[in-house]
Amino acid sequence: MQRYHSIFLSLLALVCLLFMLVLPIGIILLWSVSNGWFPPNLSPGDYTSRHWAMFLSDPTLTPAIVNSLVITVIVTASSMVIAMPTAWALARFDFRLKKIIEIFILAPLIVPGMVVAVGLGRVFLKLDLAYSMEGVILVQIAGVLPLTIRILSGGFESIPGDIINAARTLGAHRFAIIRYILLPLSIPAMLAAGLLSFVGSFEEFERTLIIGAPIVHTLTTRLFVNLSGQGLVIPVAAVVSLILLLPVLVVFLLTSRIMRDDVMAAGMGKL
Amino acid sequence: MPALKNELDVLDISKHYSGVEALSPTSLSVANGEFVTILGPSGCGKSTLLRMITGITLPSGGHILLQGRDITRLPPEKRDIAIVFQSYALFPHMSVRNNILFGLKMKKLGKQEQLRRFEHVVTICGLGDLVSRYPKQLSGGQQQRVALARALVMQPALLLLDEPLSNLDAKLRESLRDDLLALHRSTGSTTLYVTHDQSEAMSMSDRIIVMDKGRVVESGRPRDLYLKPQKRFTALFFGHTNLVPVEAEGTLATLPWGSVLPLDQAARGKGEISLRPECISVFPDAAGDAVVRQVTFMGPDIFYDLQIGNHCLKSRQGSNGVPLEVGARVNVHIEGIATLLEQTGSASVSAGAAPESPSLEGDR
Repeated sequence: MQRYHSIFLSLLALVCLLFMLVLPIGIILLWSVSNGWFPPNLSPGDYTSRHWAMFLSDPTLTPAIVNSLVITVIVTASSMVIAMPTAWALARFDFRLKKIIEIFILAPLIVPGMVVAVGLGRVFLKLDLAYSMEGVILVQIAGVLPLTIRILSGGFESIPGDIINAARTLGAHRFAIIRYILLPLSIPAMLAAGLLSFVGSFEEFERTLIIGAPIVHTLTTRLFVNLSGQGLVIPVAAVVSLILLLPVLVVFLLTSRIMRDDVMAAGMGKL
Repeated sequence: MPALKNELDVLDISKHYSGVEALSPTSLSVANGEFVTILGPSGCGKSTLLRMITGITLPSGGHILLQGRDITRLPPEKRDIAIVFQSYALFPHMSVRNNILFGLKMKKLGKQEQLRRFEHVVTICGLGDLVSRYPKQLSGGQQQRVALARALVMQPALLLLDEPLSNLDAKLRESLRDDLLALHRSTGSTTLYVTHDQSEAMSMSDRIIVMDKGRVVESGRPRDLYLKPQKRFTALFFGHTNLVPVEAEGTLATLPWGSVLPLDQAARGKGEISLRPECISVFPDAAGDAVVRQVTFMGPDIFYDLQIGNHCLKSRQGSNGVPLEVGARVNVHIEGIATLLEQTGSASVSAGAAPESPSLEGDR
């Protein structure tokens, strides 16, 4: 009885996976190589690599990819560094007005990126940050920080105080506690936060477009430009989505590989 | 400062949290090799006291001396004190081996010495085949033994145990209690044990310190505290008892129904004594002055709730023999020498208290 139950559940999960991931991606793949696909046909009648060739031969694509990678890596690294102390303070200490500060930190999630970007745009112009890499990096950090802080402080909160106290009574100094206790126990939270800020930064559009374009283009803004103009050309859109999907997929695969590690699993186990 | 030969001396230590007193100035000492228990209900300040001894919490006043050295302001990592937490606080990302070795590595002990001590505690704690497991792969009792091994391997001047058995089920608790005691005897470690469980305290300790509402109520050997408590709180905290008002005259106390009991100290006037149920025996007698109101079968024992005059008494008898029926008339015989309770003691305990006569209700 129990066995059939779990088999049924796995089948259900498989079907969901097919419908929600494989099917749409498959259709997009077909679209990206189709040379005209009209109803009622279930598959494109004719195939072409024209759309891919057009993108891959675009000379502005390479600088956009480089920009994207540089910006994403810097944004991820700095948002982690900035978020760490704040998250630690929120997780570990009780202080006056803590609730209000928490709301302030989460507030940017509620305000649409467009509003923030337009507002910041003028300030950045005055500060000479508009249309520069620095400006884009700054505005993206501002965008991903709330989430990073939230995830990290959640992770820090889940480390019981008695574990730290136990380490202290066993002779561990501040540095040793960070090195041997806190860091290893925070890895899952840091991975999750890093991953989300990586994806968030890579796919960021509104803020980057307003602050950076047309001088600084990331892959995202660069590709979206291809979608505007004479209405949506579906094969072009398909290529754009696939290119944007790629780094995210790679990052997810990498982390899931690390997460499967045994020691890692023990660290993530219930404390 | 006079030379103190105690392992631990706590002198007038106190703690306030933003104006609220968590612990009144408290003093206690633990001699070398002694097993001392701090016993009290939750929120009595015993955990605060323990945390101040480890250095996790800083006291608001007073001094803590370890082997005569003032450690009051020393951080935990510089004190020679190990603790087993109620939650065990094992490092979840380390194997049992690395959990146990952690402290030795922190103290930068030589590899040989590390290995020698490791092998020793693994043997005495019976962890032989578990050393490469991770904490989450262990049962509660095994985790508890790892936590104990991690503390013992430090060979601390003082071992603190913060309710180490309270997360385990009853059967396991009893067997681990024996293990703990055997371990204490074989290592001779000076131990301060904190619990709210009076039977744990009584069965393990050389000495018990009873705490309530942030202050020490009374301390002494388990037997003395149980049979001759000085304070009402102590009498009520250790299992069942009967609190009976008496009229004292010299070394004799007259009970409300006219019986007379010897007192351990001469006194005069009204007072109150604690009579343990097992000190009250009953004999069936159709002309007896007490009536059985309720019979509770508890396995090895039977509790009889008796009414004598307008007072209630709880009596505890072995369950062999023919049990009395409800409504039976009995004669009551009280053994032993009574101690008058000090009236200043708090009377906040209600759990486990015996039914009391209506005349006592007003005192609550």
